[in-house]
Amino acid sequence: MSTVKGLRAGAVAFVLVGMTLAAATVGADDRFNTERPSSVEIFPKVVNTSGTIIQLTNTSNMLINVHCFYINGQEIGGAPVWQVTDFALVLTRQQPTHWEVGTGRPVSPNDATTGLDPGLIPPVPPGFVGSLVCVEVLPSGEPSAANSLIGNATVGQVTGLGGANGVSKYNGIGIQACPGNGECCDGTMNADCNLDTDNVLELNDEEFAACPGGLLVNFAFEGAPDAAIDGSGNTPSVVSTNWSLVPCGFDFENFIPTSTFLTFNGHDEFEAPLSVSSVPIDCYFSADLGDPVFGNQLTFGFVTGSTYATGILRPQAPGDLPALGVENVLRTAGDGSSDTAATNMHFCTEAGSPSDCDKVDSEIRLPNFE
Amino acid sequence: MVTQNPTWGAGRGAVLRLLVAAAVLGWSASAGAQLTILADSAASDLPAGYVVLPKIVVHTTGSPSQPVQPGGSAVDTLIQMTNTNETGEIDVDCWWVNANSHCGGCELTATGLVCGPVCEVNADCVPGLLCEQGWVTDDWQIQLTAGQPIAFTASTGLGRLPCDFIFGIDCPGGDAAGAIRGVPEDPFRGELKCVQVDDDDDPVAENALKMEATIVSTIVPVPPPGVQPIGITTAAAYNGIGFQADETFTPSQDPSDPLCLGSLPPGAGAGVNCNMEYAPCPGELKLNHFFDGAAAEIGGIVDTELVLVPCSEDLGNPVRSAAFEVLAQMLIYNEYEQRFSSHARITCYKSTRLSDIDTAPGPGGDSFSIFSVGVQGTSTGQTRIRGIQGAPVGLGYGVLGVACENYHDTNLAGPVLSRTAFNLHGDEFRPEGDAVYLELLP
Repeated sequence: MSTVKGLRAGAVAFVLVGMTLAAATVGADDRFNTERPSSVEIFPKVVNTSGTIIQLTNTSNMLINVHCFYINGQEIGGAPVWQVTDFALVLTRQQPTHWEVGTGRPVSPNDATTGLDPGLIPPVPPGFVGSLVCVEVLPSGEPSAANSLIGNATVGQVTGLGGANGVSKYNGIGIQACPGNGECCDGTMNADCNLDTDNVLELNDEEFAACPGGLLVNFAFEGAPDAAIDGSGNTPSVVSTNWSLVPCGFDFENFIPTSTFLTFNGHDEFEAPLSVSSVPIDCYFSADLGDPVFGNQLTFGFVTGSTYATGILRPQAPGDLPALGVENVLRTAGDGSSDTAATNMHFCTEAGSPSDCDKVDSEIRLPNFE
Repeated sequence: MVTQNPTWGAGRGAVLRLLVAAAVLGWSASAGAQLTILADSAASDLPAGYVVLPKIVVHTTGSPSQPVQPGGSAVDTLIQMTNTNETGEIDVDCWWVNANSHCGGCELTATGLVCGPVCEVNADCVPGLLCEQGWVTDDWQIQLTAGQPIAFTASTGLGRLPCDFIFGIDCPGGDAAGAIRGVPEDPFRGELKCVQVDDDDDPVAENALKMEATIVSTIVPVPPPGVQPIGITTAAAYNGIGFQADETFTPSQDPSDPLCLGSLPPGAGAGVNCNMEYAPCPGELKLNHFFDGAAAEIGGIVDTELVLVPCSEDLGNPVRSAAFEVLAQMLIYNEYEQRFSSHARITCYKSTRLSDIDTAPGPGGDSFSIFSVGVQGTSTGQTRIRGIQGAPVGLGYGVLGVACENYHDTNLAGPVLSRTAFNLHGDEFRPEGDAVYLELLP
């Protein structure tokens, strides 16, 4: 190579390096989230007692493959069923798709659901309560780091005027893949930060984002009145809050249910302390705040004169997994009419005392068909 | 000195020089950006130093001009705010952004701002008067104790905070202070914006604010012996959109300087610096939605109301903000992967049903909208929204939004039996920056 050509090649390399470095210094915040395109979407509350519509969208300009898993969290005889049913989807560029979990979605140009069918989606059984995990994969079935998926879940039913009506919607919880090529999820450089080719998604901030150490929750005490409804005179109003939680980690290879224990620490508007320990999450948890597992502490009247509270849900002990969840609030007016509203729980990311929301490493093991 | 190979030609050499210049600029810009960008963009799932609730709706029985009558539907917004800092008090400055439209608009007189009746469309006004959207702010300040949660309705605010020592309420973790004014008008539609500040009302490099809004409507009871209508209560909740402050940034502490979302927008003017730097606005919003008129498999006929607000604001200069218009480009994909486009002009606050974006307001032409299920042929779609132009110098053209789905009885003209609200997804970040001015510019 001549001196001139070598210098020209060096100039081009300088340009490429400069532009690459410029790109790498921003967007270094790949994490668990409820708004960003991600490689994994988790829907912690999926029910067939009323109905659930899943909306899943490929936000990239490439065709992608998705491997989804229904996890049945019903309990029979006090033991979780933890039956896993999986199915595969193919989404074309920018394609949105949807299905109702109780009916599934066939592959048929003649059915009532129009649009490109993404793949056969089986229905869940009657009475199903659990969660859905969708993982973006390569055609070979290995995890993909493309961060293409966004999703929403709409839970509830509309039966007609005067009937039981209540619909709530939440965003799927996304797990982003780290940039790779030596760049970790927090933007630091480490040779270990690459996506390997096995069937395990390492949630460790090297391959995929690590689990947030806790969840921040705001709520009205169970059975408290609703100030907005009361202001209209449609009294007495009642508020009931449901938390649906799943452990941050899944084993779809060995079909071992993931379990953990959580503690809740918080206080009310007047700083009265609240503390609940040993909340068991056996694959799936769903309970109103008046449930005995919360020891009556989150019930209206437990603290005199207080209506609202806040707190952190975190792993109880070192080695316990944190949880992911959504909060669904039922508001009932004096005339008996009601509606539900869901919000995604905020992530607690402050490590160290007093929040103690240190990130936790975990994993999602996909089936190994080799 | 490098001599170009003559066989390249002048054109290729020019391209190479341009690439080198771009790399140098990118590298030097990135060296500054490395400190300014804490998170890749705004988020609704993390505590933050600056939080926006884009949709606040109020119309109650207490309205002095248009009270909701018995049998009608009253609506209010319940706001929950928490100081997630468990070790110390925080001060918060908040602004109601009143985006009501008034017949004949508003006029600043010697006695204050005088506005015509609140309206939705020109037909609500007497002949000769147009329904003009306004933009007026009303601010208040509070102090929250360590880890304190509060809640209040937008209509009434909170005249006395829990743990306020003035009222003899002594809490172990410190004192709350201040009062929350209710919205300045009823009916009201607009936003709430809150910034974490210090004792001097200067923004601080901390992220402890967490906020949620729940829009609740219910039927006002009819006193006996009147006939009670069939009860309908709806509730729709969303998380506040938080911008995390850069905790390494040294604020200018000049109240005329703006809060920079990402970086200072181009053309901000000589001597203008960032009072505080926060995460940038999302470069693109993504909305997963039903097309209007779709029959949801869980029941009901769905339409979607989208609220879009500019990311940049001049809270101290209503005239400038009222003239500030962002053009938002929209790309719509259906389940056949077919793509369509539209756009919307956002002045201060835009609340619209999807099928009113490309048709005349009202239900008349909705069946011809590209957001109509009858046009698209599939129940659901994805709409990508990006602000592309329109900002005055010193302000950016980022966009924020929240969506509400209405589930009607048997058709779109039927009553709304349930509502949902959800935060829009976002992607990328806006390198051009956005700005929020809190003070009147000289």
